[in-house]
Amino acid sequence: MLFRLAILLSVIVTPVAAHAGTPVSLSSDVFVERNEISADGKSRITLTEPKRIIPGDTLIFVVRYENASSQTARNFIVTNPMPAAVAFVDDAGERAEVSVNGGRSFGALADLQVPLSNGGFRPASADDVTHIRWKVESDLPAGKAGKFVYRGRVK
Amino acid sequence: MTSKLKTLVASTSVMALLMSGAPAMAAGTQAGASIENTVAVTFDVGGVTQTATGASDEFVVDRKIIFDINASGTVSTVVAPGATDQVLTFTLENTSNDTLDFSIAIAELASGSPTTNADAGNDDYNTSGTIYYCVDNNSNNTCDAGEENVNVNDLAPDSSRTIWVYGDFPLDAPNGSVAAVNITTSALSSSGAALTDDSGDADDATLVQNVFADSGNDNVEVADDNWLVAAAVLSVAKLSRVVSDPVSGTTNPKAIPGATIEYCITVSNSGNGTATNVVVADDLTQVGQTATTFDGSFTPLKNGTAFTGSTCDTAGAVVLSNPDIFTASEVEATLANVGPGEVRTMIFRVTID
Repeated sequence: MLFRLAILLSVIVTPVAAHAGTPVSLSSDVFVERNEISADGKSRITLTEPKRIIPGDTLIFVVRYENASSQTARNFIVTNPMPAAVAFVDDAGERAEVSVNGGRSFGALADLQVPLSNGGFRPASADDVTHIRWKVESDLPAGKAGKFVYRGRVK
Repeated sequence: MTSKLKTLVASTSVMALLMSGAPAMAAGTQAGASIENTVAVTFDVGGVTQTATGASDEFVVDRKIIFDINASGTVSTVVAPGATDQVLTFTLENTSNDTLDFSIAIAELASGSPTTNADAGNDDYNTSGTIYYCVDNNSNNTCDAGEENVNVNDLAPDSSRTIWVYGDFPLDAPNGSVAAVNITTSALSSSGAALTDDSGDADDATLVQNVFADSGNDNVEVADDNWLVAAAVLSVAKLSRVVSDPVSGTTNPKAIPGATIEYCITVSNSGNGTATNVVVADDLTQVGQTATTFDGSFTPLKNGTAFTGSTCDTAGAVVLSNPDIFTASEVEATLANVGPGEVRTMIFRVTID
């Protein structure tokens, strides 16, 4: 009995210990995409800091990562839950997978379905997306950095 | 076959997008809601799975002020002269992403044509007295005490409220008069304070700022509606013809002593309103003075609807009955309603002494 408790404790403790000295840094930036029409009638798309935001605005989320350690990281997976007030806009790059069921399963949006109350299914749409996930297939060597970008709309 | 199938599949997905693409709430995310993007990462280092998280700066959704006011229907509201508390109905819809109050101002048009109702000509009339409005703030579809001439209170996102405007019309309001009302509304904070457009101010990610997104970006919306006076305009004529005489019978009868004369009183309505309770009376004591006597063998008729020359058509006519009166000295009948463009008749006979 005592022995079992010890194992259980070690399982809990180990990840926490690893987390404390995490070698990967993550940051997320947000920009507002605005289509501004200048006095001469030309339209121009600008990216600005998200300070004045109203429903319908398009946001660009940039997730940056860097392996700040001296070791190579493998099986590198970034998971990004959609903020509650933001709807996914279908533009997260080809390496992205999405989830429409709270992160329980992931896949290409075109392959996903949403259950209906009558027991049937309908094809999932961008509005259904709850999580985005990116997988880095190759190893992430020490010092290597990169970014993922996706677009959302304020609901 | 293949291409057809493709088309079908393509159109299905477009429909699915259309159906699910529309946000559930037109107003969108509540003003003040914060947006923060969090990311989690898992990776293996030296065969040990590790995790990390990161987050973006937090910022709040600002207040998008957008609303509209419209008159119900697109035809004039018909009123009769003398009618009071005649109603025009407007609906204010708040599609902003916050609960707001709204100020209301009403004014009668001085001139010009109202825009809502295509059937209305130029405004050429004002109501008698002062028009007032009522806001159905408790949504019970009744103008209650305390709801007259007040602001729209706490209108939630994606909801609407009914506003009634009341006017009185004098008995002499001319047929065809157009009386139009302009209603002007502006959004206020939910505590009734004026709102300013912060579009020109310095940005602040943590402050809920106002963005006027209504038509014209001015936080002012206007609608109009109008009343149209429909009065009955009655004209009365008295026709007569000789029915028979003691010499020639009914062939070319002449108005000689003993001849029977038929009188027909016609009531014609050239106005836009329906005349009700129309009573036609003929004082036969006057007839007596002109040497004629009421013909009791012919029961007077009423409610005929046509006449040709001096002859009233008896098709559809009915005999006078209680409480109508027909005696040697008086004929009086209450006619059926006389609608716009309609005629009602009353027929009786006399003999020449």
